[in-house]
Amino acid sequence: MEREVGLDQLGDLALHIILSKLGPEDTVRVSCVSRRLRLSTSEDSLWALFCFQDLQLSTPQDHQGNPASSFKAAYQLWREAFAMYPWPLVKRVKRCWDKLKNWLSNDFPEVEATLRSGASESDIQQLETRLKVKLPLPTRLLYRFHDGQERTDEGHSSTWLGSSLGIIGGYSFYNHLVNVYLLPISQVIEGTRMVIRHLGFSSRSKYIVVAASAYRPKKFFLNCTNGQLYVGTSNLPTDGEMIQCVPNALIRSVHDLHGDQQQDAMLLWLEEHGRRLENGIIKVCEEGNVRSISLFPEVPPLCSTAVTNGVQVRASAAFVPELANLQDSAEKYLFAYSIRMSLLPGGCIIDGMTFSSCQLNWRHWIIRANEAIISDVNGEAVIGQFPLLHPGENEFVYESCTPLSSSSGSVEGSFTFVPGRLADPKGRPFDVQVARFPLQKPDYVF
Amino acid sequence: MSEGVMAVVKPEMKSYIWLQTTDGSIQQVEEEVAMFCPMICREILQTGMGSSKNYAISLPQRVNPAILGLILDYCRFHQVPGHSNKERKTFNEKFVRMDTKRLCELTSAADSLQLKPLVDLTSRALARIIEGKTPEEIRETFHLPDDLTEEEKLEPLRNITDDPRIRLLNRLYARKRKELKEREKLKNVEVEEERVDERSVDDLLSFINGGDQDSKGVRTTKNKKKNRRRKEQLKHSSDSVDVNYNKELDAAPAACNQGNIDNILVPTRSKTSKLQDSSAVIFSPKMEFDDADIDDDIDPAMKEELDREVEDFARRLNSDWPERMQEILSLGHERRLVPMSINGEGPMSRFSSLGRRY
Repeated sequence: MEREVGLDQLGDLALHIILSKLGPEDTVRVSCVSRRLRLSTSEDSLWALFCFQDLQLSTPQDHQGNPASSFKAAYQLWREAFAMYPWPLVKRVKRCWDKLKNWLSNDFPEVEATLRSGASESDIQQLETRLKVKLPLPTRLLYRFHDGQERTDEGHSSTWLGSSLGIIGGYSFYNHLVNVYLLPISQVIEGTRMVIRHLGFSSRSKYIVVAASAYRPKKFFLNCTNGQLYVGTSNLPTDGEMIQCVPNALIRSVHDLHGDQQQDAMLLWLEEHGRRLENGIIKVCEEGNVRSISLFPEVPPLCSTAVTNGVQVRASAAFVPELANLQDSAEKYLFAYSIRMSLLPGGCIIDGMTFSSCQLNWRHWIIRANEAIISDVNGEAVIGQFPLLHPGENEFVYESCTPLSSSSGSVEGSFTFVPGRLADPKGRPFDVQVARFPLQKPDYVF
Repeated sequence: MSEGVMAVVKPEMKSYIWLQTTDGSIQQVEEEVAMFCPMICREILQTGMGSSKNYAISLPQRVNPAILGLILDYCRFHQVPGHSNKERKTFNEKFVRMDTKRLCELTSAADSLQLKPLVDLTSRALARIIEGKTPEEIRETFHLPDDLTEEEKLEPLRNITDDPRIRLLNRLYARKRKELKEREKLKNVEVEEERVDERSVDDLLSFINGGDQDSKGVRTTKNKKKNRRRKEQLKHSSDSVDVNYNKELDAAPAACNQGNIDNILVPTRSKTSKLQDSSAVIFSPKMEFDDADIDDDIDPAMKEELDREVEDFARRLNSDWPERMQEILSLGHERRLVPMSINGEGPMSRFSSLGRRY
């Protein structure tokens, strides 16, 4: 009499294939079927696969990095630690942080070191009690992984270096220096209270401060009710004016514990930031001896490049929300732009002759709002300087800004250079093109 | 001519391999088809068997003639190099359409013949069958024994599932365990040292089923009072937040800016009411896994009783679930947040106090 071949007797290879295809949740259900299947589902190589697929873990550890006794134990610890959240959202939030941290570990480890370890449920609860808000689910999870950034305390000149480690980064032009940090819960509470006190927000408002710059008052607010993120404009102190940072249509189900559709502005914002860093759209820049994440784009189409007679000019703009003034129709928005110029190794070549240096004399800008020219200016120097370029040197970089009445526009222009030096010109002046670069209020505002 | 001579060569000049299944019957199979099976291939190359009827290759036990037929069909198709990937895929899809029992037999047989592509194909088909089924459904489909205790069945599902029934049952276990312990303590005069039994449920089971009378396993002292106090604190804090929150919801959502509204949104009524429902859900799961780290310090006989009770409850639950859901849903909207009490209560009141979760 032949005994029926049961599911539990198919052989290790077959069972492994079946269970790996089923995934962790179904495997757990299979482990509740019978004693033999419970044994088959306990194989750690299976759980190693699940840990890798769900959490990108290659060693067994819990969510705080402590080693676990096996992959199965590790998986269980993770599920226990986040049992109150929809698992797909947990995986997504982890991937968001992992992307940021991977980039940081390669390009800017000093910032990675500022990331604080995850907040506990009771830390989050404290925030909610003190500020009388309920955090959207994705934001809660973001804090569970990392409680903002550590910022070295003010006082000394070394502070200035410390305050350039904002994970969101920033820009500087004239005396406007911005570098945005993600705030830890303790500072979210303090910052929000200050805003309520000094800016006259209602004590029952659902806005909390989640990110801020050290110097200039650039503040990001999360609305806990609808899950949207806002940044204060120049009218913040007087009118509480803010600009939304993430397309509204993308925000959904921020307080819904069921399903896997939840996304709030914080999550979307950080995902977008991670994407821009990963794709090299924005990079770490060095000014003086200070490195920071610069929000001026480095690649087309937002950054233009042109080479004329051996002089290369790259140009791009960044939207500056904290200096916007939505009530002023002529100067509603402000854009900062960064111009980087250099002389290619071949030197300055005009009509077949090569020169080993050239110097800037004049600038000419044409600024458009939408397609209409609103400004056509000529002037001497750039920010009061006459950069002298030699082949193969680092780029000469300067920043300036321009107001704009519309959310879309462009800048193009040219520089007049002389070969040799202004004090000792070796030939006729020539024009170097600055290719058109866009001024565009982005969908994601940083 | 004796039968020991080399294989009779057919007019087409084909070679054949002889295979024998455990029932004794012998089959003749085209060489290229048989060689497609690694196990057969190895037998032929290493031992020289299979070239005649007397020296037929003995196939593993799990390969009966019917299944062998299927396997050879598979091999016959796939060993032809001319088929396109699309054709192979279509063949595979049709091939695995068979009942579950046969699929299991086929998988097992393919596994014993080390025919990995077929194992892969049939395993995936089986996975598709198992996907999304509950443990009971899986047991039914594959006629598997129901040999785990009720608690063993629920434990792994604790953190994985969204099914409110499972959570309910786990909670019930936790409650019952606590009750029983309290009852035990009242009986017990010396309560000085509260011992913790950290044996796994499996150990306990073997104990019940006639293992050693002496209690083995590690016993350590643990401060149980601390656990209880922590739970009380949690309850209080969650209560107070819930209460505050309700007040907040009733208050008009106050926008902080009176100026330009273009980019700022004011929360609507519908959103706030949604919040009310889900707020409760955030806190009760926390209660749940605090309960779950209660130590197992119960008389095994009581444990069996507990198992039986819960099984009973589970059955009742499964039978009138749809009605219960209606009840709970209608209760949920009216109920305010009520702290959970620990005294043994009947299932009815438990439902109502949990009603707010839905």
